[in-house]
Amino acid sequence: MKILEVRNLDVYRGDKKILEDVSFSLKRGEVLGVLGPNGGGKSTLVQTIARLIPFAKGVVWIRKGERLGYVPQFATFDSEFPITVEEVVLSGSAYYSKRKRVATGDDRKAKDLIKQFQLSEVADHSIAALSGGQSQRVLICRALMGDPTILLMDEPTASIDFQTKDQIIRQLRDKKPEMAIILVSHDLNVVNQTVDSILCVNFYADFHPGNQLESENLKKVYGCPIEVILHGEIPHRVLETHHKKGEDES
Amino acid sequence: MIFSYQFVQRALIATFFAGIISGVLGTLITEKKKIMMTSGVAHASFGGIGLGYLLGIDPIVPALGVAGLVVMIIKRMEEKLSSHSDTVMGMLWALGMALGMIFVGMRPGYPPDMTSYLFGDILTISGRDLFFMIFVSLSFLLIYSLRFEQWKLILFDEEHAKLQGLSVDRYKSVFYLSIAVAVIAMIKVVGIILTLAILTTPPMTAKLFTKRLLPRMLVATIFAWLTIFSGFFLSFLIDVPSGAMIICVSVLVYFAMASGKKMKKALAFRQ
Repeated sequence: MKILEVRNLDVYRGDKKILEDVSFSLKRGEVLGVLGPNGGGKSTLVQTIARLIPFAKGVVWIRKGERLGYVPQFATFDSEFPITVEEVVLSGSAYYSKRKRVATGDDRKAKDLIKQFQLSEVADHSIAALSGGQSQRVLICRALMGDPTILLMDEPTASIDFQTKDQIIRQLRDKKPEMAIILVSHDLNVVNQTVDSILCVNFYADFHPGNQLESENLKKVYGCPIEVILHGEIPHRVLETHHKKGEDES
Repeated sequence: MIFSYQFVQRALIATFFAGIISGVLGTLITEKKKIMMTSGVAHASFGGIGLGYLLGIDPIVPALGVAGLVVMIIKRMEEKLSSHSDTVMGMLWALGMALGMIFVGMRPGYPPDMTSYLFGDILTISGRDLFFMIFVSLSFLLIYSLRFEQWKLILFDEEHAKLQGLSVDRYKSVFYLSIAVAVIAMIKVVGIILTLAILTTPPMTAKLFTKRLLPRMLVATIFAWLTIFSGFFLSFLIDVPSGAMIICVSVLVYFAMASGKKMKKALAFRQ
């Protein structure tokens, strides 16, 4: 069942056009990977869907009753603010903004999420005391507090090591198979292993069913030849020229 | 017995409510790093005080208008030209002081004594000043306690608050206007020049002992009560200006507490 549709979307930041004529749709339980070069408009797309940025033209349709959750790319919060991890997670409750006190059961739910994402040891720590990876896990927990049916994740695993990244995405899929996810990532491996379809965004957007991209598609979206190679067990994308230089040296 | 004097009783009541303003709003000012803005607003409001003298009305009224106008200009500047808002603040700071001096100079007759506005004098607080201070502190308690969770959310992460459907802009306007009102309410206690210290030092002291917002506000209020009261009492005993003594005590308390905490940590480490 289709729960989100973006049609012919144009988005500007100031006078600069960032996205043109972007169209795609998302089904319940589907995981869509968003790939593209820096400055290509991936974050802008996600923020537009989250209604944080207005759009100039097009349609963003979300099925009635669906709930959005959003994990930002960079921590947009005031990292020195006197607030604990548990309070931050609780602030994601859908009832939080409407009622003085959080709804009954939210405390339990927040504690469960904190435990699931291995944050129990720092639950009563100030947010300022956390590492980048821990902060990011707190933001994921906060987004999940609102029981989203569509989760927008903008580079959610940027500060997390490879194994943990994989674990987090799998955990989300296993625990909430009904939840649709839009996952913006630079990490081709995370995208390859976890998504159902791929949206390549670089001013325009191309939708590709399945989780593999041909090198021609990669070249098209990044604007240069790209190949995925392995550094140990960690896949890494390189430009073709860089790869050739390595071969020459050896 | 000094407490039988009406001006001392007023000063004590002022201490109680100034402590609440410092504890509640001062904590938010320090946490959101609006310290320079607060100082700028305090100085710019001197223009309003001068205008009050020129027009022959209570200087607090035009000072309140100027402070409100300045905070809204700064808010707009932060939204539009974030990197220049500091420069604009500096200009408004100096312009307010300059206009105040011009207005006072334009007033016919002898120039009035501006010392109580510049450096404050808790002993000269009038019934009207006291009423204003009580009204302001109780309003702050109401505004910030009724929607405490929402305030916390907005001050911590504006983007997430927007996603939760909160009107972030409206809340920010209330916060900025609160700074303007707090500054004017505190002018009679410690004066324009020293307002900043009384709004920031007790919260900074409280920061040494707390990591959550609500306990920080409560501890800051207690420190503000202690320092304003002891500063006022000492100034009375040794006959020195009360505003200056209050600030000296609050800064000394901060350094004593910070050093004490550091020493305790060092001792614990050694053991």
